[in-house]
Amino acid sequence: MEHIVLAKDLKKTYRPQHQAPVEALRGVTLNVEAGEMIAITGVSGSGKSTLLHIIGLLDQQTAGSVSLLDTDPSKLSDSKRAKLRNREIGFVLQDFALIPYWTAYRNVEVPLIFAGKKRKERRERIEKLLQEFGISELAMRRVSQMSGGQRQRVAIARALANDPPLLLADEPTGALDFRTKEEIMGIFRELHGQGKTILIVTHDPQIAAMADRILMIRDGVIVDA
Amino acid sequence: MNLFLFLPRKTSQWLVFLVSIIASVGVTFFLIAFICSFSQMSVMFRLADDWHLSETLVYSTDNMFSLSEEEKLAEHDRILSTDGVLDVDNVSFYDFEFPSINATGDIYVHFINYSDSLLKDIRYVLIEGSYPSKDQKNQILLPAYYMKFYSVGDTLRGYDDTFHEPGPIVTKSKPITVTVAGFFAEQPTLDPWSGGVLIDIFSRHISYYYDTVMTPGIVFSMCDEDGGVLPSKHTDMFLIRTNGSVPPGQVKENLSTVVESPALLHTGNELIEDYIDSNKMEIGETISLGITAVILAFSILISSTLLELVYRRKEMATLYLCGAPWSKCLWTVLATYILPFVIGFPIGLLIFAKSAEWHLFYNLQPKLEASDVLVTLGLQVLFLALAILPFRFSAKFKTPYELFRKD
Repeated sequence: MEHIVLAKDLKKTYRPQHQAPVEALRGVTLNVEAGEMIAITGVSGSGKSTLLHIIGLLDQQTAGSVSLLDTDPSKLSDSKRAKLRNREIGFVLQDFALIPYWTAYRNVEVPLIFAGKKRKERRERIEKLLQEFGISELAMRRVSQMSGGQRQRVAIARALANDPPLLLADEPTGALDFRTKEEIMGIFRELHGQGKTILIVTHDPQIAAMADRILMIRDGVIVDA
Repeated sequence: MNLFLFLPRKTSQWLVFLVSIIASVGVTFFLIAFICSFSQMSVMFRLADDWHLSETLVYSTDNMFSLSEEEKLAEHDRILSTDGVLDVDNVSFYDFEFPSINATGDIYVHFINYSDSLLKDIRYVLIEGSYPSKDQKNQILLPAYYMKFYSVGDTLRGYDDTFHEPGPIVTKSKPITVTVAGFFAEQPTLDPWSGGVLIDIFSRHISYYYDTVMTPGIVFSMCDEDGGVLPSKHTDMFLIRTNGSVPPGQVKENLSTVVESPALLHTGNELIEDYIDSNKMEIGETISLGITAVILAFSILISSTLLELVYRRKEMATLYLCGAPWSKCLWTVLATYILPFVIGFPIGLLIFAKSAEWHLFYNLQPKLEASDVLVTLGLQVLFLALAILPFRFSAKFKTPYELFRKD
């Protein structure tokens, strides 16, 4: 089985100004294989989002190592790390991380622009994704004028713009009502069925139940796998 | 490709954009005014330095003290033999009338005739032609204004129209033939009528004031058509150079007993002090313009740039999430933000150039010089860099991903 992520003894310490250092991760070892869906659970402040950010190349560990698709990101420059993030990873966050006054189309276009795709290629890809998630009619609507569910669909479409093998989701249904949550869960289930590797940080047992594996983090260490 | 991703889309963004343009226009206007004012104010200091004025004394005779030629020569010799004096140069002023070559009416050229020994020191910037050697008689250098009438090599025949005291009686003396050797660049100065003795002496051949051409030509040896050296004038002045063995102040004391009118004898430093004293208002205006430009730059330009960067921090983090390096996120925002400067800079320059017609300034003569524009541009870029640097610095400590942290 192909390894998508190999994390070994990851440690992360934050040093906030005028405050005592915070050990967010205290030695996390994790293997994620291609096509797996893993749920990471734990209470607030346990370090699950930190783990996701390090795997997603948004942040760097204080100690330990991470290998992403057989590449050691710590040896890469900022621009190469950005390239790897752009091509290989998609993010879906609780607050959507969309630019609210842009249209759905433009939001989905951003990763394609950074990937250097041509305008025609971008248009075809965006239209396909928006169609797939049932929001093609909202393509030219500003994100700020959309419902939470619609925004999350735009965020998922953007995460999949470059067809990355790894999808990282941080509380993707945290800001949604029950019915919308079910819809988004359905999308994740479908993506998992298509062979995407998915890591979901969640408090929600219903979401966690969809995963192949559930990892529980407490005080920066995996206590149950 | 993605340079203008962040073009304003919301009303509030358009408002910030508009304010940024106005700020840019304001900063450009006051900066160029300050630089132009500083440049015009410092012309005299540069000239004083070129002329080694601190080692020179100026004895300027006046209409009231008109001496005969014999008396003048005697005075000249007495000065030359005084302890500490290296040499004495006679500077004469002549007014000549030349027929126009393009039917715009006769042209009056005011000439300054320097003696040979000054030739090695006086070097104004020539834009065409070359300096005559000291052996070449009646080779004239004209201010650039006259390029539309004459070319290098043109021979002009004119009449000395110097007034003779008392009364405005014009006497046409012997005709003089001169050849145009070159044209020198004009250097605008601050109000040439408010500069005291120094500017009165030195600005005569470097200044213009709005539409009035005040710049005389320069000649280093003037003879009439029979080969006779033109007689010196009542407007003569002596430039007295010291040999360094005695301080200029002491030389002045020595000369006080030698010259006819000690009150008209000044050391170079006294003239510079007099210039500064006479131009207090101009210097004040220059300083005010500079302070206004800096305050505007810091209060509006830098703060709005910083605000824009902070305001768009979340958006930059979103771009980072989508696969852009942090530096690219920063430049994507700044590229849009630079637009107000691209728009505001030429408008600021244009308003400054037009302000010459509106007489906005009390002393400054607004004039766009390429060097001033470049310095203004450089300073604006510096202000922008000052705004960006702290942001870049803080970005090292607070990574963009932290904006996505919930706990």
